[in-house]
Amino acid sequence: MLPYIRSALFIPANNPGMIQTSHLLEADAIIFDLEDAISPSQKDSARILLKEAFSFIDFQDTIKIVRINPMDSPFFFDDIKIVKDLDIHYILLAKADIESVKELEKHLIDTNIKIITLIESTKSLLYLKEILLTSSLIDGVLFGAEDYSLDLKISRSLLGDEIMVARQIIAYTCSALNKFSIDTPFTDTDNEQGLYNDSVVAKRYGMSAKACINPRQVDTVNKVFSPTSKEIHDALEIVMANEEALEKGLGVFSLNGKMVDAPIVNRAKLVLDQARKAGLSYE
Amino acid sequence: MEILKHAQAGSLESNDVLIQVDVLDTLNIELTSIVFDEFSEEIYRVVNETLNELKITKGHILINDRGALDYTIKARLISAIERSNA
Repeated sequence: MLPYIRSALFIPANNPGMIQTSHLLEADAIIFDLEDAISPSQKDSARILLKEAFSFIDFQDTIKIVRINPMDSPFFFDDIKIVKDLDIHYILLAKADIESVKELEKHLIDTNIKIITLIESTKSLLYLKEILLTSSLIDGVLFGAEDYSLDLKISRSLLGDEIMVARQIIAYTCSALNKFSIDTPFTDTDNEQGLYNDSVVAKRYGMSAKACINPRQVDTVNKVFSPTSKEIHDALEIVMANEEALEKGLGVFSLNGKMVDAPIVNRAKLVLDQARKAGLSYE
Repeated sequence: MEILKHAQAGSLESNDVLIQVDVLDTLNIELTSIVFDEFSEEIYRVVNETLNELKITKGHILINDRGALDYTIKARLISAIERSNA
Protein backbone atom coordinates (compact mmCIF):
# COMPACT_ATOMS: atom_id res chain seq x y z
CA MET A 1 0.00 0.00 0.00
CA LEU A 2 1.33 3.42 -0.93
CA PRO A 3 1.87 6.01 1.82
CA TYR A 4 -0.20 9.18 1.86
CA ILE A 5 2.06 12.00 0.71
CA ARG A 6 0.90 15.50 -0.20
CA SER A 7 4.10 17.43 0.51
CA ALA A 8 7.74 16.34 0.40
CA LEU A 9 10.18 18.88 1.83
CA PHE A 10 13.83 18.97 0.74
CA ILE A 11 16.29 19.42 3.62
CA PRO A 12 20.04 19.83 2.96
CA ALA A 13 21.73 16.84 4.60
CA ASN A 14 24.64 18.94 5.85
CA ASN A 15 22.57 21.43 7.85
CA PRO A 16 22.05 20.23 11.44
CA GLY A 17 19.68 23.06 12.34
CA MET A 18 17.31 22.09 9.54
CA ILE A 19 17.70 18.33 10.01
CA GLN A 20 16.75 18.36 13.68
CA THR A 21 13.57 20.40 13.15
CA SER A 22 12.55 18.91 9.81
CA HIS A 23 9.90 16.56 11.20
CA LEU A 24 8.15 19.45 12.99
CA LEU A 25 7.36 21.35 9.79
CA GLU A 26 4.10 19.51 8.90
CA ALA A 27 5.46 18.03 5.67
CA ASP A 28 4.18 14.50 5.03
CA ALA A 29 7.65 13.51 3.83
CA ILE A 30 11.17 14.84 4.30
CA ILE A 31 13.78 14.46 1.57
CA PHE A 32 17.25 14.65 3.09
CA ASP A 33 19.33 15.82 0.16
CA LEU A 34 22.81 14.50 -0.51
CA GLU A 35 22.77 15.68 -4.12
CA ASP A 36 22.32 19.24 -5.39
CA ALA A 37 22.12 20.89 -1.96
CA ILE A 38 25.56 19.57 -1.00
CA SER A 39 28.79 20.78 -2.61
CA PRO A 40 31.20 18.05 -3.75
CA SER A 41 33.67 18.92 -0.97
CA GLN A 42 31.00 18.39 1.71
CA LYS A 43 29.47 15.10 0.55
CA ASP A 44 31.50 13.11 3.06
CA SER A 45 30.51 15.17 6.10
CA ALA A 46 26.86 15.29 4.99
CA ARG A 47 26.72 11.48 4.88
CA ILE A 48 28.26 11.21 8.34
CA LEU A 49 25.97 13.90 9.76
CA LEU A 50 22.91 12.13 8.36
CA LYS A 51 24.02 8.79 9.80
CA GLU A 52 24.54 10.29 13.27
CA ALA A 53 21.27 12.25 13.04
CA PHE A 54 19.32 9.04 12.49
CA SER A 55 20.83 7.48 15.59
CA PHE A 56 19.93 10.54 17.68
CA ILE A 57 16.66 12.05 16.41
CA ASP A 58 13.18 10.52 16.45
CA PHE A 59 11.64 11.76 13.22
CA GLN A 60 8.30 10.35 14.40
CA ASP A 61 5.86 9.25 11.72
CA THR A 62 7.17 11.45 8.91
CA ILE A 63 7.99 9.60 5.70
CA LYS A 64 11.80 9.70 5.46
CA ILE A 65 13.49 9.90 2.08
CA VAL A 66 17.15 10.42 1.17
CA ARG A 67 18.09 11.75 -2.24
CA ILE A 68 21.36 10.17 -3.34
CA ASN A 69 23.70 11.25 -6.11
CA PRO A 70 23.27 9.74 -9.59
CA MET A 71 25.12 6.64 -10.69
CA ASP A 72 27.32 8.59 -13.10
CA SER A 73 28.71 10.66 -10.21
CA PRO A 74 31.66 9.62 -8.01
CA PHE A 75 29.36 9.68 -4.93
CA PHE A 76 26.71 7.09 -5.81
CA PHE A 77 28.23 4.02 -4.16
CA ASP A 78 29.48 5.91 -1.07
CA ASP A 79 25.96 7.30 -0.62
CA ILE A 80 24.37 3.85 -0.83
CA LYS A 81 26.88 2.38 1.62
CA ILE A 82 25.69 4.79 4.35
CA VAL A 83 22.05 5.28 3.40
CA LYS A 84 21.06 1.61 3.11
CA ASP A 85 21.56 1.19 6.87
CA LEU A 86 19.40 4.15 7.85
CA ASP A 87 15.84 3.82 9.14
CA ILE A 88 14.27 5.42 6.07
CA HIS A 89 11.34 4.60 3.82
CA TYR A 90 12.76 5.60 0.45
CA ILE A 91 15.85 6.41 -1.53
CA LEU A 92 15.20 9.09 -4.13
CA LEU A 93 17.42 8.18 -7.04
CA ALA A 94 18.67 11.20 -8.97
CA LYS A 95 18.79 10.90 -12.77
CA ALA A 96 17.07 7.54 -12.56
CA ASP A 97 17.24 5.22 -15.54
CA ILE A 98 16.89 1.47 -16.00
CA GLU A 99 20.56 0.76 -15.35
CA SER A 100 20.81 2.82 -12.15
CA VAL A 101 17.56 1.40 -10.76
CA LYS A 102 18.86 -2.14 -11.33
CA GLU A 103 22.13 -1.26 -9.59
CA LEU A 104 20.41 0.39 -6.62
CA GLU A 105 17.99 -2.51 -6.24
CA LYS A 106 20.91 -4.92 -5.77
CA HIS A 107 22.02 -3.00 -2.67
CA LEU A 108 18.56 -2.89 -1.08
CA ILE A 109 17.81 -6.62 -1.07
CA ASP A 110 18.21 -7.02 2.70
CA THR A 111 16.55 -3.75 3.65
CA ASN A 112 13.00 -2.36 3.88
CA ILE A 113 13.94 0.65 1.79
CA LYS A 114 12.01 1.31 -1.40
CA ILE A 115 12.78 3.56 -4.34
CA ILE A 116 11.45 6.82 -5.72
CA THR A 117 12.76 7.63 -9.19
CA LEU A 118 13.68 11.21 -9.99
CA ILE A 119 12.62 11.82 -13.58
CA GLU A 120 14.55 14.80 -14.86
CA SER A 121 15.49 14.17 -18.49
CA THR A 122 13.63 13.74 -21.75
CA LYS A 123 15.03 10.24 -22.12
CA SER A 124 13.85 9.14 -18.68
CA LEU A 125 10.41 10.56 -19.47
CA LEU A 126 10.35 8.67 -22.77
CA TYR A 127 11.22 5.42 -21.00
CA LEU A 128 9.20 6.11 -17.85
CA LYS A 129 7.06 2.99 -18.06
CA GLU A 130 10.10 0.77 -18.61
CA ILE A 131 11.95 2.41 -15.71
CA LEU A 132 9.00 1.93 -13.35
CA LEU A 133 8.65 -1.71 -14.38
CA THR A 134 12.36 -2.36 -13.76
CA SER A 135 11.94 -2.91 -10.02
CA SER A 136 9.10 -3.82 -7.71
CA LEU A 137 10.79 -1.61 -5.12
CA ILE A 138 9.72 1.52 -6.97
CA ASP A 139 6.72 3.19 -5.31
CA GLY A 140 6.74 6.56 -7.00
CA VAL A 141 8.19 9.29 -9.14
CA LEU A 142 9.41 12.78 -8.40
CA PHE A 143 9.45 15.11 -11.39
CA GLY A 144 12.50 17.37 -11.63
CA ALA A 145 11.41 20.08 -14.02
CA GLU A 146 14.53 22.25 -13.85
CA ASP A 147 16.92 19.61 -15.22
CA TYR A 148 14.21 18.34 -17.56
CA SER A 149 13.76 21.82 -19.06
CA LEU A 150 17.51 22.20 -19.40
CA ASP A 151 17.63 18.87 -21.24
CA LEU A 152 14.82 19.98 -23.53
CA LYS A 153 16.60 23.35 -24.02
CA ILE A 154 13.56 25.35 -22.97
CA SER A 155 13.06 28.02 -20.32
CA ARG A 156 10.78 27.66 -17.33
CA SER A 157 7.84 30.04 -17.00
CA LEU A 158 5.55 31.07 -14.20
CA LEU A 159 2.60 29.52 -16.03
CA GLY A 160 4.39 26.20 -16.40
CA ASP A 161 2.72 25.27 -19.69
CA GLU A 162 6.08 24.08 -21.04
CA ILE A 163 6.01 21.13 -18.62
CA MET A 164 2.32 20.28 -19.05
CA VAL A 165 2.96 17.22 -21.19
CA ALA A 166 5.66 15.89 -18.87
CA ARG A 167 3.40 16.28 -15.86
CA GLN A 168 0.55 14.52 -17.60
CA ILE A 169 2.72 11.63 -18.80
CA ILE A 170 4.10 11.15 -15.29
CA ALA A 171 0.66 11.41 -13.66
CA TYR A 172 -1.07 8.93 -15.93
CA THR A 173 1.84 6.47 -16.04
CA CYS A 174 2.01 6.50 -12.25
CA SER A 175 -1.74 6.09 -11.96
CA ALA A 176 -1.74 3.16 -14.36
CA LEU A 177 1.10 1.44 -12.50
CA ASN A 178 -0.16 2.34 -8.99
CA LYS A 179 2.69 4.68 -8.08
CA PHE A 180 2.57 8.11 -6.46
CA SER A 181 3.67 11.14 -8.45
CA ILE A 182 5.37 14.05 -6.71
CA ASP A 183 5.42 17.27 -8.69
CA THR A 184 8.47 19.45 -9.21
CA PRO A 185 9.06 22.18 -6.60
CA PHE A 186 8.00 25.77 -7.25
CA THR A 187 11.30 27.60 -7.11
CA ASP A 188 10.20 31.16 -6.25
CA THR A 189 9.88 30.79 -2.50
CA ASP A 190 8.56 34.35 -2.07
CA ASN A 191 5.64 33.93 -4.49
CA GLU A 192 2.88 32.32 -2.43
CA GLN A 193 0.15 32.90 -5.02
CA GLY A 194 2.40 31.42 -7.72
CA LEU A 195 2.97 28.35 -5.55
CA TYR A 196 -0.76 27.96 -5.00
CA ASN A 197 -1.55 28.28 -8.73
CA ASP A 198 1.24 25.87 -9.69
CA SER A 199 0.06 23.33 -7.10
CA VAL A 200 -3.55 23.55 -8.32
CA VAL A 201 -2.42 22.92 -11.92
CA ALA A 202 -0.27 19.96 -10.89
CA LYS A 203 -3.14 18.44 -8.92
CA ARG A 204 -5.52 18.97 -11.84
CA TYR A 205 -3.11 17.11 -14.13
CA GLY A 206 -3.16 14.17 -11.73
CA MET A 207 0.04 14.61 -9.71
CA SER A 208 -0.55 13.25 -6.21
CA ALA A 209 1.88 15.48 -4.27
CA LYS A 210 4.34 18.32 -4.63
CA ALA A 211 7.94 18.77 -3.54
CA CYS A 212 8.79 21.82 -1.42
CA ILE A 213 12.13 23.60 -1.12
CA ASN A 214 11.19 25.86 1.77
CA PRO A 215 9.20 25.11 4.94
CA ARG A 216 6.96 28.09 4.13
CA GLN A 217 5.64 26.18 1.10
CA VAL A 218 4.38 23.17 3.03
CA ASP A 219 1.09 24.59 4.31
CA THR A 220 -0.07 25.74 0.87
CA VAL A 221 0.87 22.44 -0.75
CA ASN A 222 -0.83 20.40 1.97
CA LYS A 223 -4.01 22.43 1.58
CA VAL A 224 -4.10 22.12 -2.22
CA PHE A 225 -3.45 18.37 -2.16
CA SER A 226 -6.07 17.72 0.53
CA PRO A 227 -9.77 17.43 -0.34
CA THR A 228 -11.71 20.69 0.07
CA SER A 229 -14.57 20.93 2.57
CA LYS A 230 -17.05 20.99 -0.35
CA GLU A 231 -15.48 17.86 -1.87
CA ILE A 232 -15.71 16.14 1.51
CA HIS A 233 -19.33 17.25 2.01
CA ASP A 234 -20.35 16.05 -1.48
CA ALA A 235 -18.48 12.75 -1.02
CA LEU A 236 -20.16 12.11 2.31
CA GLU A 237 -23.57 12.78 0.78
CA ILE A 238 -22.85 10.34 -2.06
CA VAL A 239 -21.58 7.59 0.24
CA MET A 240 -24.59 7.90 2.56
CA ALA A 241 -27.03 7.93 -0.38
CA ASN A 242 -25.24 4.89 -1.79
CA GLU A 243 -25.77 2.98 1.45
CA GLU A 244 -29.48 3.74 1.32
CA ALA A 245 -29.63 2.70 -2.34
CA LEU A 246 -27.87 -0.58 -1.59
CA GLU A 247 -30.43 -1.35 1.12
CA LYS A 248 -33.10 -0.88 -1.55
CA GLY A 249 -31.17 -3.09 -3.94
CA LEU A 250 -30.29 -0.23 -6.31
CA GLY A 251 -26.95 -0.19 -8.15
CA VAL A 252 -27.55 3.23 -9.68
CA PHE A 253 -29.43 6.06 -8.04
CA SER A 254 -30.17 9.76 -8.43
CA LEU A 255 -28.83 12.43 -6.11
CA ASN A 256 -29.61 16.15 -6.50
CA GLY A 257 -30.81 15.47 -10.02
CA LYS A 258 -27.65 13.64 -11.11
CA MET A 259 -27.16 9.94 -11.76
CA VAL A 260 -24.71 8.28 -9.38
CA ASP A 261 -23.06 4.97 -10.28
CA ALA A 262 -20.09 2.91 -9.07
CA PRO A 263 -17.21 5.14 -10.37
CA ILE A 264 -18.72 8.20 -8.67
CA VAL A 265 -19.23 6.27 -5.43
CA ASN A 266 -15.65 4.98 -5.57
CA ARG A 267 -14.33 8.49 -6.15
CA ALA A 268 -16.35 9.73 -3.16
CA LYS A 269 -14.87 6.97 -1.01
CA LEU A 270 -11.38 7.98 -2.20
CA VAL A 271 -12.03 11.61 -1.20
CA LEU A 272 -13.16 10.51 2.28
CA ASP A 273 -10.11 8.26 2.58
CA GLN A 274 -7.83 11.16 1.66
CA ALA A 275 -9.67 13.42 4.13
CA ARG A 276 -9.17 10.88 6.90
CA LYS A 277 -5.46 10.53 6.09
CA ALA A 278 -5.10 14.31 5.98
CA GLY A 279 -6.62 14.47 9.46
CA LEU A 280 -9.72 16.34 8.28
CA SER A 281 -12.83 15.46 10.26
CA TYR A 282 -16.07 14.89 8.39
CA GLU A 283 -18.33 12.89 10.67
CA MET B 1 42.98 5.60 13.37
CA GLU B 2 45.42 8.52 13.72
CA ILE B 3 45.39 12.22 12.98
CA LEU B 4 47.85 12.46 10.11
CA LYS B 5 47.46 16.07 8.97
CA HIS B 6 45.46 19.23 9.53
CA ALA B 7 41.78 18.86 8.64
CA GLN B 8 38.47 20.41 9.58
CA ALA B 9 34.73 19.80 9.32
CA GLY B 10 31.52 21.63 10.19
CA SER B 11 30.75 25.32 10.18
CA LEU B 12 30.11 28.32 12.37
CA GLU B 13 26.41 28.34 11.51
CA SER B 14 23.91 28.16 14.36
CA ASN B 15 23.39 24.58 15.64
CA ASP B 16 26.68 23.50 14.05
CA VAL B 17 30.27 23.19 15.27
CA LEU B 18 33.57 23.77 13.49
CA ILE B 19 36.13 21.17 14.47
CA GLN B 20 39.78 21.35 13.43
CA VAL B 21 42.27 18.58 14.09
CA ASP B 22 46.06 18.73 13.93
CA VAL B 23 49.02 16.45 14.54
CA LEU B 24 50.34 16.55 18.13
CA ASP B 25 52.32 14.11 20.29
CA THR B 26 49.82 14.38 23.12
CA LEU B 27 46.04 14.78 23.26
CA ASN B 28 44.86 18.36 23.64
CA ILE B 29 41.20 19.39 23.40
CA GLU B 30 40.46 23.09 23.14
CA LEU B 31 36.80 24.13 23.41
CA THR B 32 35.00 27.39 22.70
CA SER B 33 31.21 27.33 22.90
CA ILE B 34 28.30 29.76 23.05
CA VAL B 35 26.85 27.43 25.69
CA PHE B 36 30.13 26.68 27.49
CA ASP B 37 28.81 27.30 31.00
CA GLU B 38 25.81 25.03 30.51
CA PHE B 39 27.13 22.26 28.29
CA SER B 40 30.94 22.11 28.25
CA GLU B 41 30.96 18.88 30.30
CA GLU B 42 28.55 17.24 27.85
CA ILE B 43 30.57 18.40 24.86
CA TYR B 44 33.81 17.05 26.37
CA ARG B 45 32.02 13.77 27.08
CA VAL B 46 30.86 13.39 23.47
CA VAL B 47 34.30 14.33 22.13
CA ASN B 48 36.13 11.90 24.42
CA GLU B 49 33.70 9.06 23.66
CA THR B 50 34.11 9.62 19.94
CA LEU B 51 37.90 9.74 20.20
CA ASN B 52 37.81 6.48 22.18
CA GLU B 53 35.60 4.84 19.53
CA LEU B 54 38.08 5.89 16.86
CA LYS B 55 41.04 4.91 19.09
CA ILE B 56 42.55 8.37 18.81
CA THR B 57 45.02 9.04 21.62
CA LYS B 58 47.04 11.91 20.18
CA GLY B 59 46.28 15.17 18.41
CA HIS B 60 45.13 18.73 18.83
CA ILE B 61 41.34 19.04 18.69
CA LEU B 62 40.07 22.61 18.32
CA ILE B 63 36.30 22.94 18.80
CA ASN B 64 34.29 26.06 18.06
CA ASP B 65 30.71 25.22 19.03
CA ARG B 66 27.62 27.15 17.95
CA GLY B 67 25.06 25.20 19.93
CA ALA B 68 25.44 21.84 18.22
CA LEU B 69 23.61 18.80 19.57
CA ASP B 70 25.57 15.65 20.49
CA TYR B 71 25.09 13.95 17.11
CA THR B 72 26.46 16.97 15.26
CA ILE B 73 29.56 17.20 17.46
CA LYS B 74 30.20 13.49 16.95
CA ALA B 75 29.61 13.68 13.18
CA ARG B 76 31.86 16.69 12.67
CA LEU B 77 34.67 15.14 14.73
CA ILE B 78 34.48 11.89 12.75
CA SER B 79 34.48 13.87 9.49
CA ALA B 80 37.52 15.94 10.49
CA ILE B 81 39.47 12.85 11.55
CA GLU B 82 38.52 10.91 8.40
CA ARG B 83 39.64 13.90 6.32
CA SER B 84 42.94 13.99 8.16
CA ASN B 85 43.43 10.40 6.96
CA ALA B 86 42.41 11.03 3.36
